[in-house]
Amino acid sequence: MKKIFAYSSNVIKVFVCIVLFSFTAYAVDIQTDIVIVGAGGAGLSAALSASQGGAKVMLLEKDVTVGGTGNFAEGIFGVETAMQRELWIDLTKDKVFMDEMTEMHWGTNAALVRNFHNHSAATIEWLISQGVKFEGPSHNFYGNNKTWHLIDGLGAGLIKALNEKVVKDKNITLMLETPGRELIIKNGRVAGVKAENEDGEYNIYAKGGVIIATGGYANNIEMVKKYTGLKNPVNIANLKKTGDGIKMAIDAGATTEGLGIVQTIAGKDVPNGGRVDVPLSMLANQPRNIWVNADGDRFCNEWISFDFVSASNSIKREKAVWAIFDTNIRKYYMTEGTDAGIGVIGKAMTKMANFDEIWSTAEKTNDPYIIKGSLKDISKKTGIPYENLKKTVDEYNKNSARNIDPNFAKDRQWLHTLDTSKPLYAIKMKEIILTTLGGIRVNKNLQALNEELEPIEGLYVAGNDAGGLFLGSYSLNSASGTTYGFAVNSGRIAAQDILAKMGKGKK
Amino acid sequence: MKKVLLSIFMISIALCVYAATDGKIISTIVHAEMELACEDCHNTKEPVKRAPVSTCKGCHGNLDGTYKGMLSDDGKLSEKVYPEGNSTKTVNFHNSHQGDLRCTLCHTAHKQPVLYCNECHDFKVLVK
Repeated sequence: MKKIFAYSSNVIKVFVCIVLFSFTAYAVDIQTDIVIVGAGGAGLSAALSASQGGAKVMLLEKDVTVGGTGNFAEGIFGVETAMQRELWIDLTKDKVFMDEMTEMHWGTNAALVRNFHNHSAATIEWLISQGVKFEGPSHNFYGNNKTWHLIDGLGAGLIKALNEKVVKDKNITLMLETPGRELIIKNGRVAGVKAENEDGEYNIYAKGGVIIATGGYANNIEMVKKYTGLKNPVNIANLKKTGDGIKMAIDAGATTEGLGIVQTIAGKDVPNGGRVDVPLSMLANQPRNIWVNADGDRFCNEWISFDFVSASNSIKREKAVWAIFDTNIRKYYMTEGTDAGIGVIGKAMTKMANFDEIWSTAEKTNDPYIIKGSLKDISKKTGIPYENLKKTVDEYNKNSARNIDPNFAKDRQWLHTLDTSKPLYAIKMKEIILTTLGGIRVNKNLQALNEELEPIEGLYVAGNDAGGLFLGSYSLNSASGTTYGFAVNSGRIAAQDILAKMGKGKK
Repeated sequence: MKKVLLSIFMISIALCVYAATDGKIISTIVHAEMELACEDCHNTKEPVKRAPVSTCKGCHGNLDGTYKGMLSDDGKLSEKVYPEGNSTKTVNFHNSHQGDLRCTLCHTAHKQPVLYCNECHDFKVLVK
């Protein structure tokens, strides 16, 4: 008995040593000029800008590759660009700035917006010098300012070009699969970042500063529910954006602005765990359809389907939304095309010749969010009260026959009487999150601010982690291309501010 | 002393991991058929983590330190047509627009392989 006890106490000692030792495992110290958390549109731009100004950079990315949602974006904001001049687009910085601030009712960071807009033309020239190719300025809404500069190869094209530069750049060390965990604070200043990966832990000390660029929190369901109030959120094209950067900055004393603002599009709702169905989303989001809510009432002018912001803002308010169209409209979609598109991935006027195939594929998966049948079938399957649904359709048909919409002012172009003697098609709609738009409050140079609105030395926040650009919702009217444009520009501006403070050259 | 304790700790973890995965090659089956041993890829008889891609490229590389897929007869990068979503795409999976990805991302050897591209795309292909 004694022997066993003596033996086991030795084993326990060794075990305790191992356990204790493992907690004091070596963390490697790294010294650098600038450390950037997140290698998306903002992080890649910041890294290259910093390196080209003579700084040494550690670029951390928690995913297995770079770019994040930057791979899915389409165009970059720019004003007074060479491409606009080539097309006789005479927008000025002043006009676009005033349009945008008016749109936001001046409840946003005007100095930040102005700084971003003022840099935008030079940034596009810089991107071109880094190998990014552009198709040119375009519209994504009726009559909106043509500030949206479409990228050749879309977002993935920009990320590819910048990544190729980054991996060849001797000043930049890119660490993939290496999340930043915590900011290092020394003497009241943000001195660096603690990071870790499969090979160990790192304390990365940055003389110049830390730039946080982790893309917002669209993949963090708890944060989305908490800040946006959306129940059952659905998102598209967001990869691992769990709010890491925002949380790190808040822990270091930063204050926030605009948390809860989201950029959403209107599409088809998604059965659990599935991906957004782009063709069916496009078929639902059309001006010729009627949209009814859980009571069976229309609730908007379906013409707003042309503006994804307005469409999703309107849908968001309802308990449930179903788009309904008939066989005549179906034929129109097949032979003439969809009037409204979804950005560039679903082009407007796409002829949906394979409509039946798209529909039957979804039927085969027992998708509960598509229904083909009579008004009674739709009522039964959706729970919408039949009497009210019929009343809505009858009234709509009566008015459409006279080319008027006294309820929601829809233009005659989009008014069709629905043929209820043949099968109708219903698609459940949902607001789908493209990205979150609020985050850390910053000054015009992207320095994070504390609750006294003073800059926190050494801490910068760029891209979707920063707040102050939007009030209420995103907008396509004045400055479309702002999300991706701000990512790239804010990364550049933050890097340049650090370089200036370090006394290094600006490029 | 610290180093000894660390080694003991790491080895015991390794043995646990080894026991869990059994060290069996269930994808990239050719490696099993060739009867490769742990150290041939992991550079150690008791691996604790993924094989470094340098060993993959040592056998499979395009001689310039990269692997960008099978070259065509005239030494050029080749692309093929694959079913994707409701249509097709012409791509070279080893020449991604995302840049260099580590081989072991898809070719997982001890686990079911996965096509990383399908995080966003919808290619109907199987990975070796």
